[in-house]
Amino acid sequence: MEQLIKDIICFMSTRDITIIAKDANSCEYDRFITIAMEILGWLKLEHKRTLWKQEKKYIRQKPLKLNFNYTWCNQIKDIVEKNDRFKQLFTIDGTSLDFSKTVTEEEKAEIRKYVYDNYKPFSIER
Amino acid sequence: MKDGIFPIFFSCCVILVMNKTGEDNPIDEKMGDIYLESPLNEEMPVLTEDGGSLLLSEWGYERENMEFSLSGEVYKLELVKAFRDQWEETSGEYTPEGDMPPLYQANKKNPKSINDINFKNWLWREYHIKLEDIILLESQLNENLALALRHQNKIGITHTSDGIRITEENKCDPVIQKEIYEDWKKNSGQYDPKNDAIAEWEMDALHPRTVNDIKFEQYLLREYGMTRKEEIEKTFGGNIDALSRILTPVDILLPGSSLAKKAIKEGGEEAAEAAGKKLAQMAGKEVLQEAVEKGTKELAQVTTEKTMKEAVVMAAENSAKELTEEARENLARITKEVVKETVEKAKKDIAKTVTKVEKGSKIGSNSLEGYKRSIENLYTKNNIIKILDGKTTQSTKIASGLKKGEIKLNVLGNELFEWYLGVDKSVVALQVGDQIYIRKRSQSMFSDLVHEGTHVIDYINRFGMNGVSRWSWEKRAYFYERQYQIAIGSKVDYTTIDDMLVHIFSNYDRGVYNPYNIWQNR
Repeated sequence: MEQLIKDIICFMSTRDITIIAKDANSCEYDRFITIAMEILGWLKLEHKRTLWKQEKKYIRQKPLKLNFNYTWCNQIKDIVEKNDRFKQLFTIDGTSLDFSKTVTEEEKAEIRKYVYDNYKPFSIER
Repeated sequence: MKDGIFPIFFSCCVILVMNKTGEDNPIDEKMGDIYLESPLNEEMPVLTEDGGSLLLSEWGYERENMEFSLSGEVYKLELVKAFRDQWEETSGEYTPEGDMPPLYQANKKNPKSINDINFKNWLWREYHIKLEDIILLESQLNENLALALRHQNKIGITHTSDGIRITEENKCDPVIQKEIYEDWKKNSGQYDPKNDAIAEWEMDALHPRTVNDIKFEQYLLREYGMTRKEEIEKTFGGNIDALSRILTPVDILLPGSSLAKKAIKEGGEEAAEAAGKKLAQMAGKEVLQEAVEKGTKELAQVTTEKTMKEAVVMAAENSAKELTEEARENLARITKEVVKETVEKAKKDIAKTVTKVEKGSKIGSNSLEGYKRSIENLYTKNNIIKILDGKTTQSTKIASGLKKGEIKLNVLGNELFEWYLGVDKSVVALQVGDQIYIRKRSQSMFSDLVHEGTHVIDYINRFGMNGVSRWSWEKRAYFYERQYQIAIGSKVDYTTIDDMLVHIFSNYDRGVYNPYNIWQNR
């Protein structure tokens, strides 16, 4: 189980950026909360897709789409390029963020399930 | 292949295209762009907006393949086509032979092919979307677009010769209507002096209109969405013409008549009361007495010649005639007084309206905003950002968040909102993570946005990291919402802060709410 994912979830609770990167530069990571929400949301959905596939629906796994007009999308690109832990786990191809090729299918499934079980986005009804 | 289902679409399209012709502004300028984005990162259809094209993104499609422009009149076909292509590529159900209708469909007027049927079933099975729903969504969009365009072109932008802005509030104002009438007379090409005579088919009507009147009414309805009823209702207090059209002396004369009742109901209360009292004094006592006496004399004379029954009828008719004529004369005088009073009242009303108009033009876009809201909440992301930006500090922050893509907005129809989010009718808006969900037909869309946006911003800014009560979260949100309502000059939900607090205390848990500790929240 990849420690990075656990750390991202931990970051959501503590907001301590040093968990993610020890020498974190505040400029590079100031949008990390958005990035964390996006990545966890994507992984959660990916597991849901796996479940739908098991129900024989015509669904396929998809990468997280990025729009480089937005600051956080540019930051995620920088982070994946510069941060080794991110580099090992993720890769960005064009406008898509996906698992890197070194990650096996079992690992992917494990990570998705872990996020699905453990990440619940905060919500408030009005 | 697609002939089976597409006749319906083509026919809809033709109508929609016709609606759009003649519009000067291209639709994409007004509407901006909309795409469908997955809420809660799940595979469901959601309407939200972003840069440039109408997209179906996480609906099971690749975004870039789903782009199509709102400015193209045939976009309806594009949407269904995109689904269709997806079906053909991925489902494996498509066969060239399937383009033929099955035997049991052969005798139908618009037979559906096997492929059409399979495609429809696939759409439901895969995405839980009915084909009809897509068509409905699109036709709604189209209609709303046309409406919004038409009204945007007129309301709030057109100026009278006095430089007064026409808004939803003042469009029925007699002064402004007169301006509109003059403008129509000059520029529409519909006005014909020959048509100033009463229309033939209106001869028997209670308030006959000229052909020009009718044309002008139709113009009002078409251009400003103003009905005759609305015109009369809104202008009754201030418009002497409208009053005289409703209240004729005969109407007041007969206090039991439906028109008199209507007159009393529709604002002529004082006038009708005064008239009624005087009528009772004059007509009721003197005239009636005289008439009865005359009638009795006549009755005595005629009794010998005709039967009793005929005589009674005749006498009653005669006395009624005299009563009416005399009362008419008296009432003409009374009506003049009433009219005089009403003119004064009208002057005051006009003065009030002018003040309102001035206030409205100061607020600027808000009147347009209000009008738009009344027809349909049809905003692009850019519109929303523009409207929120600069109103209050908080709304500006939210606008900035929306702009940077850090806050995501989902505008859902009522049914989808409740069904997808699993909430009941009492829930106005909802925030999950960085996503805000609001109802498409919400009457308070922007204040809802400020409320939920405040929650997102608070979450991002680590508000209450160590755990504060839910009340604190809500107090902040409600406060900024109220601040926004005051800033734009709209009606506030809670007159005082105390009222607001009472609402919070009685509707939310006092318990500590810590969204950061996601382990505890599970």
